[in-house]
Amino acid sequence: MRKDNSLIIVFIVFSSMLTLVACVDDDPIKPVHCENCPSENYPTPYSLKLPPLFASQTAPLNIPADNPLTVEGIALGKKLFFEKRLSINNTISCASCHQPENSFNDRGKSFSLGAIGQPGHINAMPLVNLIYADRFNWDGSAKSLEEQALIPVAHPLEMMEKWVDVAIKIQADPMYVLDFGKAFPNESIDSTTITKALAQFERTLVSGNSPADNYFGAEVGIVPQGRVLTAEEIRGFEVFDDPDRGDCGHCHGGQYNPNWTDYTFRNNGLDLNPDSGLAKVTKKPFDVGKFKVPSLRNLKYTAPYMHDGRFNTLEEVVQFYMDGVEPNSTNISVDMFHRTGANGHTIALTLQEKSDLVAFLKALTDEEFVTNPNFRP
Amino acid sequence: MKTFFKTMFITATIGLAVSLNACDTDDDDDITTPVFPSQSVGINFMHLSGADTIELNTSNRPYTNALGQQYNVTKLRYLISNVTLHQVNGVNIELDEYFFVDISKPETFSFTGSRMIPQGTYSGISYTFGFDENDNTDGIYTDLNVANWNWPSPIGGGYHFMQLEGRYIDSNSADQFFATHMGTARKIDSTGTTFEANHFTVMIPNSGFVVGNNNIELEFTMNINEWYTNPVNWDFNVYGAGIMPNYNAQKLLNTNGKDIFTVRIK
Repeated sequence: MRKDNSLIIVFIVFSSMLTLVACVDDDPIKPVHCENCPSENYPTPYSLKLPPLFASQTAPLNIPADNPLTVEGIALGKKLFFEKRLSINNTISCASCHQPENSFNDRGKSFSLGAIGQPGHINAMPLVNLIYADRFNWDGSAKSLEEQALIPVAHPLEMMEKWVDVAIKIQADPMYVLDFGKAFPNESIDSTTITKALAQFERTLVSGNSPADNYFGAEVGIVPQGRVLTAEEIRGFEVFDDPDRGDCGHCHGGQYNPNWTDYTFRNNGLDLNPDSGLAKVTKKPFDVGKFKVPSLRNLKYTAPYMHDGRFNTLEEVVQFYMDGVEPNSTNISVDMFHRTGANGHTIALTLQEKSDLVAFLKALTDEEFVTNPNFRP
Repeated sequence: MKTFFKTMFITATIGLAVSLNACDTDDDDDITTPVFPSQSVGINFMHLSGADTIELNTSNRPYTNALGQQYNVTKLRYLISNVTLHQVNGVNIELDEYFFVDISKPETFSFTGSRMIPQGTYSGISYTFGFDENDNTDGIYTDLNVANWNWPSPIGGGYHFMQLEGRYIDSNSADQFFATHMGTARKIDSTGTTFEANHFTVMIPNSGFVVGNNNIELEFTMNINEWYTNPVNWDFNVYGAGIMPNYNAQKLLNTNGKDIFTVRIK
C-alpha cells in the first residue's frame, strides 16, 4: 500500500514537472508565468504570530495590499533568500551577508564582500522586525521591502546580477516553477514576484524574546518566555532612560517601544563632514548626514556598529556618545545636545554606569531568534 | 477625556437623528426640523512665530523671540487633549480623545469636516495642553509609544506634551541647539523627589461662535513665541537644551503657555 502511494506521488510530481517545465518561456525579456500551475486553494493565507508585548505596543504591521503573507510565499521567499543564483556567478545569496545566526547581518565585517569578493560601501543591516518599518536601508532609499530587495541583486558592489538573468535561472528550475505557481498563481517569475517572496519571508523575521522583552512584558502582565533582566541590566536601563545620563530614548525609545528605534533618520555626529545619507534620496540639504536610527535589538550579534561599521564594540559606541561626537557636524540631531556642550550639558558616565549600560544593550538580544529553525534553509 | 465617551454618545445620537430624518425627505410639505440638527466641523492647526508661518529646517535663523534671540525650527510636535466646545445650554462637545500634532505631517493637523457638532450657540472652546493626571498614564497609547512620545520614568513618566526644537544664535554669536521639551515636572528638594502634573487647561479667549445652517471650520493657531514670553521672557542661553529634568524650566513653560493658542471660526 505504502509503495503504491509512493509511486503515485512520484508520478504526480514527475508529470507536474513536465507540465510546469512546458510553462517556461525561454525568452528572457518576456518573463514567464505558469499558466497551468495549480491555483486552486493556493496560496494559503498565513497568520503571523507576534510576541504578546508587540500586540499592544508597536506600530501597525506594514504589509502591502498586493503582497499579503502566505504560507507558500514565505516558504518560497526563504528558499530564495538562501539562493546563490541571485548573484552573477552563483556565489552569494542574501544570507551570505544577512546570516540568520547573526540576526541577519554580516557579523564582524564593516563592509560585506560582493560576488567577486569586492568590498561594499555600507554596513549590512540586520533584518529584524522590518514588518513595522516603512523606509529601508541606511539612507532610506527603499520604501518597501519589495523595493529594497531589488537593489542588492543588481548592485555593482553586491550581487552584480541582471534581474533578467536571475529570472532566466529561476525559470529554468522546475521546482521553482512549482513553488511560484503555488505562491503566485498566474503571475510571472520575475523581479516582481521574486522580491515579493523575499519580502514575505523578511516580514516573518520577528524578534521579541529578549530578557528586556520578558522583563518589561512582565510589568504589563505578560508571562516571561525566558529570563528577565538582571540587577546590572536594570541599572543599565536606568542609565539608558535617564535624560541626565544616557538619554538614549529620544532616538531609540524605551520600554514601551519594543522596536528600540523611532524609525527616523538622524545625524548622530560621527564626522564633521558626514556622508550624504538621507539627502542622497531626498536631495534636501538639511538631510545631509542623516542615517536610519537602527533598532537596538540583537546587538550582541551585529557588530561592528554604525552605517560604516566603525565601532567594533558597544563600549566604543558608548564612549563615542560620551566624548566623541563631532558637535559641528552638518545637521547634527538636536538630541545630541549633551554631547555638544549646549547649555553646559555633558555626559559623564562612571565606569560602573558604562558597563551597566552595555550589559543592558546586550540584554536586548533574543537568543531564540538567532537559533530559530524556521529561519534556516 | 472622560467626557469623550459621553460625547461619542451625543455624536452617535445626532447621527442617528439625522439619518432617521433623512427618511422623510421625499415629503416636501412636511418640513420637519431635525431634533438635533448638526453641521460638520473642519479642524486645522496653524503654527506661527510672531507673524511668520513656521517653515521647518531653514538654513538661516528667521525667527526672533522676545529677547531678540534668533532661531529656526527643526521639529514641532505637541499633544493637546480634552478639546471641548462649550454650548451655552450647558452641553459640552469633546472633539477627539487627543490631537498629536507633528507639523512635518499635515495629516496630523488638518482635518476636513468629518466631525459633526450640533447647531446652536457656543460660548467658547477649551483644551488641555498635554494630558491631565488621569490621562497621562505610562505606555497606554500605542500611537504615542510608536512615536517615542513617552516621558522618561526618572522624571515622572507618562508622555511628552511638546517637543519644539531648533537652533539659535547664542550669547557668543555661535549656533547652538534648543530643545523645548515639556512634560511632567520633577521636583527635588530637601523632602525628596516629587512629580508635578504640568498640563494646563484653558478657555481660548474670544472663542465663542454660532453654528447655523453652514458647516464650520475651526482654525487653531499656535504662536510659538508665546512659549517664550508673557509673562516671563525665556532665555535660550539658560533654557536651551536639556530642560526636561529642570523643574523651573518645566514650570515656566506652564506659566508662559496659557496664551499660545488663538482660534478663528470660519
